[in-house]
Amino acid sequence: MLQLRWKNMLVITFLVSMVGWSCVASEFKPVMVITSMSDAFAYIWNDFLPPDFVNWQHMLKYLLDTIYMCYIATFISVVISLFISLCASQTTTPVKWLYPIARGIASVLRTIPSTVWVLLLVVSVGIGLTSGVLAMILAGVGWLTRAFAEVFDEMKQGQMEALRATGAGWVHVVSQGILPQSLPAILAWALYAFDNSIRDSTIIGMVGGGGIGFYLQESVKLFQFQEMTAGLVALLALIIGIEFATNMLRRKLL
Amino acid sequence: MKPILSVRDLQKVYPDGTKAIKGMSFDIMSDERVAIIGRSGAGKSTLLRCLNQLIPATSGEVTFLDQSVTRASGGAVRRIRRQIGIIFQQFHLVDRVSVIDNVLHGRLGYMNALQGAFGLYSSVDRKRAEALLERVGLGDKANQRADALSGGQQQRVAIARACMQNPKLMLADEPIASLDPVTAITIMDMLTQLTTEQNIPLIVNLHQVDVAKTYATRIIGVRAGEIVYDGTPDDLTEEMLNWIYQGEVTQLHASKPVLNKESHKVVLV
Ligand SMILES: Nc1ncnc2c1ncn2[C@@H]1O[C@H](COP(=O)(O)OP(=O)(O)OP(=O)(O)O)[C@@H](O)[C@H]1O
Ligand SMILES: [Mg+2]
Repeated sequence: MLQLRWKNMLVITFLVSMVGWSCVASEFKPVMVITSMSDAFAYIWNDFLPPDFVNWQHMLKYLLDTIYMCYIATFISVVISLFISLCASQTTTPVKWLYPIARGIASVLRTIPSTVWVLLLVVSVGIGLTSGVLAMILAGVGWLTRAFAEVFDEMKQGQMEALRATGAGWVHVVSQGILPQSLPAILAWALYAFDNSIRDSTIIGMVGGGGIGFYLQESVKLFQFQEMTAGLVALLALIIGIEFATNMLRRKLL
Repeated sequence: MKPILSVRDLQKVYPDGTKAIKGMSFDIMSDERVAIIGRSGAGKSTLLRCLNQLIPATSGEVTFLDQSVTRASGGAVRRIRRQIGIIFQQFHLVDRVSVIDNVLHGRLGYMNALQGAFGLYSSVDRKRAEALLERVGLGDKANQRADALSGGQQQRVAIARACMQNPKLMLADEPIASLDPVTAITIMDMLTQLTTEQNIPLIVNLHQVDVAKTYATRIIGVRAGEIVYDGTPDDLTEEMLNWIYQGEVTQLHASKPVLNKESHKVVLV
């Protein structure tokens, strides 16, 4: 319960005055948010609606590109993450010194958002699908490694011990014990990663990574706002569709 | 006759400083069935796991068929482990995998990385696995998932898995502690029969003294990391059991039983 002690009062006063200071310092006018809101809605109503699907073939190509990109990126990230995450869990790492290295790789990849990766890659690889896919893989490996490692952390120690006791080597224990045992969890994460990458792909495309985001960006540049809205509608349908499908599959798995 | 297993002055100190085993020595012959009894925390599980290096010993020497277990590393450890079967209290099957595959896991120690990774067991191994399942009375369950079986059935699969290794020594860490009394008897019978047939020794950690006395040819009593009794089931007196289990001799028996190292007999001093 919040009590009106002088300490709390002090904290609240501080927090509120920080908002004031931030507005002054950044020359942000809160009133503008409200006044410009109506302008924004009027603009959307007049210029963005109704959606215009004349270029649907063009749009569909980018939409399909998005799905392909995401599928390839998810598949490759899952494979790479599996290898790294086996080392990134204390219970499954083949040798102790690989553990901090694998953890380190994952943390570094995780701290850099996929959009930053695209920006870097566009410079070196060029605008297009390749940059987008690479960026998705790098970002995907970052968090999937961590997710998989957590799955392995929860592996029952006894089962692995029993396999080791038969004289099985690390490869045997992983392939015959750890992987079959954690397969449902791994697939569930892979589906989630696919779902996530579809959503991520919009912004990745906008900064030059190809796919539907690129189409949206192009439409805006060409002032084809109604075509852009059409793209948004299609994207929304795709996201909802994929999320529905992956959720259903996931429920079946777990 | 040469012992199959020989333990000399074995010690185990866990990283946190717990002295789980404080110098144990014994030899195991091929025709012996040894029950290890002792209170919870006495060091029974630790001892068993030191015998196949699932836990590295701190000092002392374990020799198995003329090879040093304690000094083995890498491939040598695997070659030793594959000749030692071990059964656990919680069965520890890979439970999302079929029963027959769990039995076949007993061959992994004899396969290279590639064969093992893809489960490329030979047809000889497959036949043997089926025969073993038949032997433990689960011939009809071969293709079921392991977690669909009852506890007693899972333990029988674990026994088949261990036999699949063609072991020269069988270990069991409280194999019947999670089973009902009737199932427990079948499991103990099965372990006794299979090891006797193969002419290999059995070392089994047990909580139930009556079961130990029934099945074992020799009983080792462990108390706080030390062997305090090593002898026949018949010589295991009430005083001795008190000493093993209560940690202190009751007032009635104020004198302290001590193991005579040469004769393996307990004397009261
Ligand atoms: N991994 C570990 N790290 C530190 N101490 C441990 C570890 N495992 C066991 N111990 C300690 O070592 C001692 C012996 O344990 P152990 O499990 O061998 O006993 P036990 O005789 O098998 O007992 P129980 O009958 O309960 O299974 C105990 O004091 C225990 O707390
Ligand atoms: Mg124990």
